[in-house]
Amino acid sequence: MAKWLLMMTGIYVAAVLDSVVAPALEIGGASPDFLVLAVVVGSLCVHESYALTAAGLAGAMLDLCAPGRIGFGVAVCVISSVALAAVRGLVGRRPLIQSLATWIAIAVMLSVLTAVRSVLGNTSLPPASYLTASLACGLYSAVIGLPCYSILSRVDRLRAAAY
Amino acid sequence: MTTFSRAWSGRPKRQLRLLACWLALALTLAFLPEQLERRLKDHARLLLAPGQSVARAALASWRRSWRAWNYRSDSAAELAQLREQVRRLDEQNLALRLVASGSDFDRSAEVEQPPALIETRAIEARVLGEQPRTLLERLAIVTAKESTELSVGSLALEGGSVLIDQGDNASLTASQLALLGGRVWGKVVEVGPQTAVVRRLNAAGYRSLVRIVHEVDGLPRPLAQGVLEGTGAADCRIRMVDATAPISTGDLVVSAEEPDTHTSMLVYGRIARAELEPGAAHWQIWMTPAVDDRSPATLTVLQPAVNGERLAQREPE
Repeated sequence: MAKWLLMMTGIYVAAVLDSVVAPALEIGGASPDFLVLAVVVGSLCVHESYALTAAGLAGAMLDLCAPGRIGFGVAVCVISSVALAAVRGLVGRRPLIQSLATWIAIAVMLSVLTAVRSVLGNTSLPPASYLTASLACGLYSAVIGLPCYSILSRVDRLRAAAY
Repeated sequence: MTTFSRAWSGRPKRQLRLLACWLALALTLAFLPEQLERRLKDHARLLLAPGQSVARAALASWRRSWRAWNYRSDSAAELAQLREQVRRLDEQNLALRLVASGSDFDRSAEVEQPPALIETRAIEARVLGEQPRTLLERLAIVTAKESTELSVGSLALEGGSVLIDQGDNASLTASQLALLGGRVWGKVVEVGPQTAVVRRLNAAGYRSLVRIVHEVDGLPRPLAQGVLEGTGAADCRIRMVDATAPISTGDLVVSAEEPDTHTSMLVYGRIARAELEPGAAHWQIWMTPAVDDRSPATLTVLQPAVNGERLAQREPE
Protein backbone atom coordinates (compact mmCIF):
# COMPACT_ATOMS: atom_id res chain seq x y z
CA MET A 1 0.00 0.00 0.00
CA ALA A 2 2.81 2.35 0.98
CA LYS A 3 4.54 1.67 -2.34
CA TRP A 4 1.40 2.53 -4.30
CA LEU A 5 0.96 5.69 -2.28
CA LEU A 6 4.58 6.62 -2.87
CA MET A 7 4.17 5.98 -6.57
CA MET A 8 1.04 8.12 -6.83
CA THR A 9 2.71 10.91 -4.88
CA GLY A 10 5.77 10.70 -7.13
CA ILE A 11 3.65 11.06 -10.25
CA TYR A 12 1.69 13.95 -8.76
CA VAL A 13 4.89 15.75 -7.79
CA ALA A 14 6.37 15.11 -11.24
CA ALA A 15 3.23 16.55 -12.88
CA VAL A 16 3.38 19.63 -10.65
CA LEU A 17 7.08 20.11 -11.35
CA ASP A 18 6.39 19.71 -15.06
CA SER A 19 3.81 22.48 -15.06
CA VAL A 20 5.46 24.97 -12.66
CA VAL A 21 9.19 24.34 -12.23
CA ALA A 22 10.16 23.07 -15.71
CA PRO A 23 9.39 26.43 -17.44
CA ALA A 24 11.56 28.19 -14.84
CA LEU A 25 14.47 25.84 -15.59
CA GLU A 26 14.39 26.49 -19.33
CA ILE A 27 17.83 26.87 -20.91
CA GLY A 28 18.10 27.77 -24.58
CA GLY A 29 14.51 26.72 -25.25
CA ALA A 30 14.95 23.27 -23.63
CA SER A 31 13.39 22.33 -20.33
CA PRO A 32 13.33 19.02 -18.50
CA ASP A 33 10.29 16.71 -18.68
CA PHE A 34 9.76 15.40 -15.15
CA LEU A 35 6.86 13.05 -15.96
CA VAL A 36 8.74 11.25 -18.72
CA LEU A 37 11.81 11.20 -16.48
CA ALA A 38 9.72 9.55 -13.75
CA VAL A 39 8.62 6.87 -16.24
CA VAL A 40 12.21 6.14 -17.28
CA VAL A 41 13.67 6.18 -13.75
CA GLY A 42 10.82 3.95 -12.56
CA SER A 43 11.34 1.51 -15.40
CA LEU A 44 15.09 1.28 -14.82
CA CYS A 45 15.08 1.14 -11.03
CA VAL A 46 11.71 -0.06 -9.68
CA HIS A 47 10.07 -3.49 -9.80
CA GLU A 48 8.47 -4.14 -13.21
CA SER A 49 4.85 -4.39 -12.07
CA TYR A 50 5.02 -1.09 -10.23
CA ALA A 51 7.00 0.48 -13.05
CA LEU A 52 4.40 -0.45 -15.64
CA THR A 53 1.50 0.88 -13.58
CA ALA A 54 3.44 4.03 -12.79
CA ALA A 55 4.24 4.47 -16.48
CA GLY A 56 0.54 4.12 -17.37
CA LEU A 57 -0.51 6.67 -14.74
CA ALA A 58 2.28 9.07 -15.71
CA GLY A 59 1.29 8.70 -19.37
CA ALA A 60 -2.33 9.47 -18.48
CA MET A 61 -1.23 12.53 -16.55
CA LEU A 62 0.99 13.56 -19.50
CA ASP A 63 -2.03 13.32 -21.80
CA LEU A 64 -4.31 15.22 -19.43
CA CYS A 65 -1.84 18.07 -18.95
CA ALA A 66 -1.01 18.46 -22.64
CA PRO A 67 -3.24 19.89 -25.36
CA GLY A 68 -4.80 17.55 -27.93
CA ARG A 69 -6.17 14.01 -27.83
CA ILE A 70 -5.47 11.77 -24.86
CA GLY A 71 -4.43 8.15 -24.82
CA PHE A 72 -1.27 8.30 -26.89
CA GLY A 73 0.83 9.33 -23.92
CA VAL A 74 -0.35 6.24 -22.04
CA ALA A 75 0.53 3.99 -24.95
CA VAL A 76 3.97 5.52 -25.47
CA CYS A 77 4.79 5.42 -21.77
CA VAL A 78 3.75 1.80 -21.14
CA ILE A 79 5.50 0.52 -24.27
CA SER A 80 8.64 2.48 -23.33
CA SER A 81 8.46 1.13 -19.80
CA VAL A 82 8.29 -2.45 -21.06
CA ALA A 83 11.15 -1.81 -23.46
CA LEU A 84 13.29 -0.21 -20.75
CA ALA A 85 12.52 -3.02 -18.34
CA ALA A 86 13.72 -5.43 -21.02
CA VAL A 87 17.10 -3.70 -21.34
CA ARG A 88 17.42 -3.06 -17.64
CA GLY A 89 19.83 -5.94 -17.23
CA LEU A 90 22.10 -4.51 -19.88
CA VAL A 91 22.12 -1.02 -18.42
CA GLY A 92 22.79 -2.28 -14.90
CA ARG A 93 23.13 0.01 -11.89
CA ARG A 94 25.73 2.41 -13.21
CA PRO A 95 24.37 5.93 -12.95
CA LEU A 96 26.21 7.26 -16.00
CA ILE A 97 25.00 4.45 -18.24
CA GLN A 98 21.50 4.83 -16.81
CA SER A 99 21.60 8.55 -17.61
CA LEU A 100 22.73 7.84 -21.14
CA ALA A 101 19.85 5.36 -21.54
CA THR A 102 17.51 7.98 -20.10
CA TRP A 103 18.64 10.54 -22.67
CA ILE A 104 17.97 8.16 -25.54
CA ALA A 105 14.67 6.91 -24.09
CA ILE A 106 13.27 10.39 -23.39
CA ALA A 107 14.38 11.69 -26.78
CA VAL A 108 12.65 8.76 -28.51
CA MET A 109 9.49 8.99 -26.38
CA LEU A 110 9.08 12.73 -26.91
CA SER A 111 9.83 12.43 -30.62
CA VAL A 112 7.18 9.73 -31.02
CA LEU A 113 4.63 11.68 -28.97
CA THR A 114 5.23 14.88 -30.94
CA ALA A 115 5.15 12.98 -34.20
CA VAL A 116 1.79 11.47 -33.27
CA ARG A 117 0.44 14.87 -32.26
CA SER A 118 1.80 16.32 -35.48
CA VAL A 119 -0.02 13.64 -37.49
CA LEU A 120 -3.22 14.37 -35.53
CA GLY A 121 -2.82 18.07 -36.24
CA ASN A 122 -2.26 19.11 -32.62
CA THR A 123 1.13 20.65 -33.42
CA SER A 124 2.66 22.11 -36.57
CA LEU A 125 6.35 21.75 -35.70
CA PRO A 126 8.59 20.48 -38.53
CA PRO A 127 10.25 17.10 -37.79
CA ALA A 128 13.78 18.57 -37.57
CA SER A 129 12.62 21.07 -35.01
CA TYR A 130 10.86 18.61 -32.70
CA LEU A 131 13.63 16.05 -33.03
CA THR A 132 16.19 18.65 -31.91
CA ALA A 133 13.91 19.77 -29.09
CA SER A 134 13.40 16.15 -27.99
CA LEU A 135 17.15 15.52 -27.94
CA ALA A 136 17.79 18.69 -25.92
CA CYS A 137 14.95 17.92 -23.53
CA GLY A 138 16.19 14.33 -23.16
CA LEU A 139 19.71 15.51 -22.37
CA TYR A 140 18.48 18.03 -19.81
CA SER A 141 16.23 15.43 -18.14
CA ALA A 142 19.07 12.87 -18.14
CA VAL A 143 21.34 15.38 -16.38
CA ILE A 144 18.65 15.91 -13.75
CA GLY A 145 18.18 12.13 -13.52
CA LEU A 146 21.87 11.49 -12.81
CA PRO A 147 21.71 12.40 -9.09
CA CYS A 148 18.51 10.33 -8.77
CA TYR A 149 20.32 7.28 -10.16
CA SER A 150 23.28 7.91 -7.87
CA ILE A 151 21.04 8.07 -4.81
CA LEU A 152 19.07 4.97 -5.82
CA SER A 153 22.30 3.08 -6.51
CA ARG A 154 23.66 4.09 -3.08
CA VAL A 155 20.40 2.95 -1.42
CA ASP A 156 20.62 -0.40 -3.24
CA ARG A 157 24.20 -0.91 -2.07
CA LEU A 158 23.28 -0.08 1.51
CA ARG A 159 20.34 -2.45 1.34
CA ALA A 160 22.53 -5.22 -0.06
CA ALA A 161 25.09 -4.60 2.68
CA ALA A 162 22.36 -4.77 5.34
CA TYR A 163 21.20 -8.16 4.04
CA MET B 1 16.07 -7.65 -30.82
CA THR B 2 17.41 -10.97 -29.57
CA THR B 3 18.14 -9.37 -26.22
CA PHE B 4 14.66 -7.92 -26.08
CA SER B 5 12.93 -11.26 -26.84
CA ARG B 6 15.23 -13.11 -24.42
CA ALA B 7 14.43 -10.57 -21.73
CA TRP B 8 10.73 -10.94 -22.34
CA SER B 9 10.66 -14.71 -22.72
CA GLY B 10 10.72 -15.17 -18.97
CA ARG B 11 8.21 -12.47 -18.13
CA PRO B 12 5.18 -13.58 -16.18
CA LYS B 13 1.95 -13.51 -18.09
CA ARG B 14 0.64 -11.06 -15.51
CA GLN B 15 2.94 -8.39 -16.89
CA LEU B 16 1.78 -8.97 -20.41
CA ARG B 17 -1.81 -8.87 -19.31
CA LEU B 18 -1.13 -5.57 -17.54
CA LEU B 19 0.48 -4.16 -20.65
CA ALA B 20 -2.48 -5.24 -22.72
CA CYS B 21 -4.84 -3.58 -20.23
CA TRP B 22 -2.94 -0.31 -20.41
CA LEU B 23 -2.86 -0.36 -24.18
CA ALA B 24 -6.57 -1.06 -24.24
CA LEU B 25 -7.14 1.86 -21.88
CA ALA B 26 -4.98 4.09 -24.09
CA LEU B 27 -7.04 3.08 -27.10
CA THR B 28 -10.26 3.77 -25.21
CA LEU B 29 -9.01 7.16 -24.11
CA ALA B 30 -8.03 8.00 -27.67
CA PHE B 31 -11.62 7.43 -28.82
CA LEU B 32 -13.33 9.20 -25.90
CA PRO B 33 -15.88 11.84 -26.85
CA GLU B 34 -14.41 15.31 -26.88
CA GLN B 35 -16.73 16.55 -24.12
CA LEU B 36 -15.74 13.75 -21.76
CA GLU B 37 -12.10 14.30 -22.59
CA ARG B 38 -12.42 18.00 -21.72
CA ARG B 39 -14.09 17.12 -18.44
CA LEU B 40 -11.27 14.71 -17.57
CA LYS B 41 -8.72 17.42 -18.31
CA ASP B 42 -10.63 19.87 -16.11
CA HIS B 43 -10.59 17.36 -13.24
CA ALA B 44 -6.87 16.79 -13.72
CA ARG B 45 -6.32 20.55 -13.63
CA LEU B 46 -8.30 20.84 -10.39
CA LEU B 47 -6.37 17.94 -8.92
CA LEU B 48 -3.04 19.58 -9.72
CA ALA B 49 -4.05 23.10 -8.61
CA PRO B 50 -3.13 22.79 -4.87
CA GLY B 51 0.26 21.30 -5.69
CA GLN B 52 0.87 23.95 -8.31
CA SER B 53 0.06 26.77 -5.90
CA VAL B 54 2.47 25.30 -3.33
CA ALA B 55 5.15 24.89 -6.01
CA ARG B 56 4.59 28.46 -7.26
CA ALA B 57 4.91 29.82 -3.71
CA ALA B 58 8.10 27.79 -3.16
CA LEU B 59 9.50 28.98 -6.48
CA ALA B 60 8.68 32.62 -5.70
CA SER B 61 10.29 32.28 -2.27
CA TRP B 62 13.38 30.73 -3.80
CA ARG B 63 13.56 33.53 -6.38
CA ARG B 64 13.29 36.13 -3.60
CA SER B 65 16.07 34.43 -1.65
CA TRP B 66 18.21 34.26 -4.75
CA ARG B 67 17.65 37.95 -5.47
CA ALA B 68 18.42 38.80 -1.82
CA TRP B 69 21.61 36.73 -1.96
CA ASN B 70 22.63 38.45 -5.21
CA TYR B 71 21.89 41.83 -3.64
CA ARG B 72 24.01 40.91 -0.61
CA SER B 73 26.91 39.86 -2.79
CA ASP B 74 26.56 43.12 -4.79
CA SER B 75 26.56 45.07 -1.52
CA ALA B 76 29.65 43.21 -0.36
CA ALA B 77 31.42 44.09 -3.59
CA GLU B 78 30.36 47.72 -3.22
CA LEU B 79 31.57 47.76 0.38
CA ALA B 80 34.94 46.36 -0.66
CA GLN B 81 35.15 49.02 -3.37
CA LEU B 82 34.34 51.78 -0.88
CA ARG B 83 36.90 50.43 1.59
CA GLU B 84 39.49 50.48 -1.18
CA GLN B 85 38.48 54.06 -1.98
CA VAL B 86 38.85 55.04 1.70
CA ARG B 87 42.28 53.42 1.77
CA ARG B 88 43.34 55.35 -1.34
CA LEU B 89 42.03 58.60 0.16
CA ASP B 90 43.94 57.90 3.38
CA GLU B 91 47.08 57.43 1.33
CA GLN B 92 46.43 60.68 -0.52
CA ASN B 93 45.90 62.49 2.80
CA LEU B 94 49.17 61.11 4.06
CA ALA B 95 50.92 62.21 0.89
CA LEU B 96 49.40 65.68 1.25
CA ARG B 97 50.62 65.90 4.84
CA LEU B 98 54.08 64.88 3.71
CA VAL B 99 54.07 67.52 0.98
CA ALA B 100 52.72 70.07 3.42
CA SER B 101 55.40 69.44 5.97
CA GLY B 102 57.99 69.47 3.19
CA SER B 103 59.78 66.48 4.63
CA ASP B 104 60.55 63.29 2.80
CA PHE B 105 60.65 60.87 5.72
CA ASP B 106 58.79 57.61 5.17
CA ARG B 107 55.36 56.69 6.47
CA SER B 108 56.50 54.37 9.19
CA ALA B 109 58.62 57.18 10.59
CA GLU B 110 55.58 59.42 10.66
CA VAL B 111 53.45 56.78 12.37
CA GLU B 112 56.01 56.30 15.11
CA GLN B 113 56.62 60.01 15.54
CA PRO B 114 56.25 61.17 19.15
CA PRO B 115 53.99 64.13 19.94
CA ALA B 116 55.46 67.41 18.69
CA LEU B 117 57.15 69.62 21.26
CA ILE B 118 55.73 72.75 19.73
CA GLU B 119 52.08 72.76 18.78
CA THR B 120 49.94 75.49 17.31
CA ARG B 121 47.09 76.97 19.29
CA ALA B 122 44.27 78.83 17.64
CA ILE B 123 43.04 81.88 19.53
CA GLU B 124 39.71 83.32 18.57
CA ALA B 125 39.61 87.09 18.72
CA ARG B 126 36.82 89.56 18.04
CA VAL B 127 37.50 92.44 15.72
CA LEU B 128 36.77 95.73 17.48
CA GLY B 129 34.88 98.37 15.59
CA GLU B 130 35.07 102.13 16.00
CA GLN B 131 32.76 102.45 19.03
CA PRO B 132 34.30 99.71 21.19
CA ARG B 133 37.72 101.08 20.29
CA THR B 134 36.78 104.57 21.46
CA LEU B 135 35.39 103.14 24.70
CA LEU B 136 38.55 101.17 25.35
CA GLU B 137 40.69 104.18 24.60
CA ARG B 138 38.67 106.16 27.11
CA LEU B 139 39.15 103.47 29.73
CA ALA B 140 42.86 103.43 28.95
CA ILE B 141 42.74 99.78 28.09
CA VAL B 142 44.07 100.19 24.62
CA THR B 143 47.74 100.65 25.36
CA ALA B 144 50.61 99.22 23.58
CA LYS B 145 53.69 97.73 25.13
CA GLU B 146 56.20 100.09 26.62
CA SER B 147 58.68 99.30 23.93
CA THR B 148 56.30 100.39 21.23
CA GLU B 149 55.75 103.69 22.95
CA LEU B 150 52.05 103.64 22.20
CA SER B 151 49.64 105.21 24.59
CA VAL B 152 45.97 106.19 24.81
CA GLY B 153 45.09 108.35 21.89
CA SER B 154 48.14 107.36 19.94
CA LEU B 155 46.45 104.36 18.36
CA ALA B 156 45.85 105.26 14.78
CA LEU B 157 45.02 102.25 12.65
CA GLU B 158 46.28 102.34 9.13
CA GLY B 159 43.99 101.37 6.27
CA GLY B 160 43.72 97.58 6.06
CA SER B 161 44.50 97.00 9.74
CA VAL B 162 42.07 96.01 12.49
CA LEU B 163 42.11 95.92 16.26
CA ILE B 164 41.32 92.61 17.96
CA ASP B 165 40.30 92.00 21.57
CA GLN B 166 43.20 89.68 22.45
CA GLY B 167 46.71 90.78 23.15
CA ASP B 168 49.40 90.10 25.68
CA ASN B 169 46.77 88.52 27.92
CA ALA B 170 46.58 85.68 25.35
CA SER B 171 50.35 85.71 24.83
CA LEU B 172 50.01 87.08 21.31
CA THR B 173 53.19 88.32 19.71
CA ALA B 174 53.93 90.23 16.54
CA SER B 175 54.18 88.30 13.26
CA GLN B 176 51.66 85.66 14.26
CA LEU B 177 49.28 84.82 11.45
CA ALA B 178 45.58 85.71 11.64
CA LEU B 179 43.13 83.57 9.70
CA LEU B 180 39.65 84.06 8.42
CA GLY B 181 37.77 80.90 7.49
CA GLY B 182 41.00 78.90 7.43
CA ARG B 183 42.71 81.33 5.03
CA VAL B 184 45.38 83.87 5.84
CA TRP B 185 43.83 87.27 6.50
CA GLY B 186 46.86 89.07 7.87
CA LYS B 187 49.50 89.23 10.56
CA VAL B 188 49.69 90.59 14.11
CA VAL B 189 51.86 93.72 14.01
CA GLU B 190 51.31 95.43 17.36
CA VAL B 191 50.40 93.82 20.70
CA GLY B 192 48.99 95.61 23.72
CA PRO B 193 48.01 94.16 27.12
CA GLN B 194 44.42 93.37 26.06
CA THR B 195 44.39 94.13 22.36
CA ALA B 196 46.45 93.71 19.22
CA VAL B 197 46.64 95.21 15.77
CA VAL B 198 46.37 92.89 12.79
CA ARG B 199 47.48 94.04 9.36
CA ARG B 200 45.63 92.72 6.35
CA LEU B 201 47.78 90.86 3.82
CA ASN B 202 47.20 93.38 1.02
CA ALA B 203 47.78 96.40 3.28
CA ALA B 204 50.83 98.49 2.54
CA GLY B 205 53.82 97.34 4.54
CA TYR B 206 52.70 93.73 4.90
CA ARG B 207 55.50 91.28 4.16
CA SER B 208 55.58 87.55 4.48
CA LEU B 209 57.49 84.59 3.10
CA VAL B 210 55.29 82.50 0.81
CA ARG B 211 55.53 79.40 -1.29
CA ILE B 212 53.98 78.96 -4.73
CA VAL B 213 52.60 75.52 -5.44
CA HIS B 214 51.08 73.94 -8.54
CA GLU B 215 48.31 71.36 -8.13
CA VAL B 216 48.88 68.10 -10.05
CA ASP B 217 46.13 65.46 -9.70
CA GLY B 218 44.92 67.16 -6.55
CA LEU B 219 48.37 67.09 -4.95
CA PRO B 220 50.32 70.33 -4.40
CA ARG B 221 53.79 70.47 -6.02
CA PRO B 222 56.02 73.23 -4.63
CA LEU B 223 57.46 75.48 -7.33
CA ALA B 224 59.24 78.34 -5.64
CA GLN B 225 59.43 80.65 -2.65
CA GLY B 226 58.99 84.40 -2.66
CA VAL B 227 58.18 87.40 -0.54
CA LEU B 228 54.60 88.56 -0.48
CA GLU B 229 54.11 92.30 -0.10
CA GLY B 230 50.93 94.24 0.50
CA THR B 231 50.59 97.20 -1.83
CA GLY B 232 47.41 98.78 -0.48
CA ALA B 233 45.62 97.67 -3.66
CA ALA B 234 43.35 94.65 -3.97
CA ASP B 235 46.13 92.36 -5.24
CA CYS B 236 49.43 91.66 -3.47
CA ARG B 237 52.85 91.53 -5.09
CA ILE B 238 55.14 88.53 -4.80
CA ARG B 239 58.80 89.33 -5.23
CA MET B 240 62.05 87.40 -5.33
CA VAL B 241 60.62 84.43 -7.19
CA ASP B 242 63.34 82.91 -9.31
CA ALA B 243 62.86 83.31 -13.06
CA THR B 244 63.53 79.63 -13.64
CA ALA B 245 60.42 78.57 -11.67
CA PRO B 246 57.54 77.44 -13.97
CA ILE B 247 54.97 79.87 -12.57
CA SER B 248 51.56 80.14 -14.19
CA THR B 249 48.31 81.93 -13.50
CA GLY B 250 46.08 80.11 -11.02
CA ASP B 251 48.92 78.58 -9.01
CA LEU B 252 48.31 78.49 -5.29
CA VAL B 253 50.19 80.76 -2.87
CA VAL B 254 50.63 79.24 0.57
CA SER B 255 52.55 80.11 3.71
CA ALA B 256 56.18 79.04 3.81
CA GLU B 257 56.72 78.75 7.51
CA GLU B 258 58.92 76.16 9.17
CA PRO B 259 57.93 72.64 8.00
CA ASP B 260 57.08 71.29 11.43
CA THR B 261 54.72 74.04 12.41
CA HIS B 262 51.04 73.75 11.63
CA THR B 263 51.07 77.10 9.90
CA SER B 264 52.59 75.64 6.76
CA MET B 265 50.38 75.32 3.66
CA LEU B 266 47.95 77.97 4.82
CA VAL B 267 46.42 79.51 1.73
CA TYR B 268 47.04 83.15 0.89
CA GLY B 269 45.46 83.21 -2.54
CA ARG B 270 45.98 82.41 -6.20
CA ILE B 271 48.27 84.02 -8.74
CA ALA B 272 46.34 86.49 -10.86
CA ARG B 273 49.15 87.68 -13.10
CA ALA B 274 52.74 86.61 -13.65
CA GLU B 275 55.17 88.45 -15.89
CA LEU B 276 58.77 87.76 -16.71
CA GLU B 277 60.66 90.50 -18.48
CA PRO B 278 63.41 89.44 -20.88
CA GLY B 279 66.65 88.95 -19.02
CA ALA B 280 65.04 89.49 -15.59
CA ALA B 281 66.19 87.35 -12.69
CA HIS B 282 62.81 87.35 -10.92
CA TRP B 283 59.16 87.10 -11.80
CA GLN B 284 56.72 89.97 -11.41
CA ILE B 285 53.77 88.30 -9.75
CA TRP B 286 50.41 89.60 -8.52
CA MET B 287 48.25 87.51 -6.27
CA THR B 288 44.53 87.78 -5.51
CA PRO B 289 43.92 87.09 -1.79
CA ALA B 290 41.74 84.12 -0.88
CA VAL B 291 39.82 86.25 1.63
CA ASP B 292 37.37 88.89 0.44
CA ASP B 293 37.50 92.63 1.13
CA ARG B 294 34.83 92.66 3.84
CA SER B 295 35.88 93.54 7.34
CA PRO B 296 35.83 90.38 9.46
CA ALA B 297 33.89 89.99 12.73
CA THR B 298 36.39 87.54 14.24
CA LEU B 299 39.87 86.38 13.41
CA THR B 300 41.79 83.30 14.49
CA VAL B 301 45.35 83.94 15.56
CA LEU B 302 47.72 81.01 15.30
CA GLN B 303 50.15 80.83 18.14
CA PRO B 304 52.96 78.34 18.76
CA ALA B 305 52.92 76.80 22.22
CA VAL B 306 54.84 74.11 24.08
CA ASN B 307 53.04 70.76 23.97
CA GLY B 308 51.87 69.95 27.51
CA GLU B 309 51.67 66.25 26.69
CA ARG B 310 55.40 66.18 25.90
CA LEU B 311 56.25 67.97 29.12
CA ALA B 312 54.09 65.52 31.05
CA GLN B 313 56.02 62.64 29.49
CA ARG B 314 59.32 64.06 30.69
CA GLU B 315 58.26 64.71 34.28
CA PRO B 316 58.52 61.08 35.67
CA GLU B 317 62.12 60.87 34.56
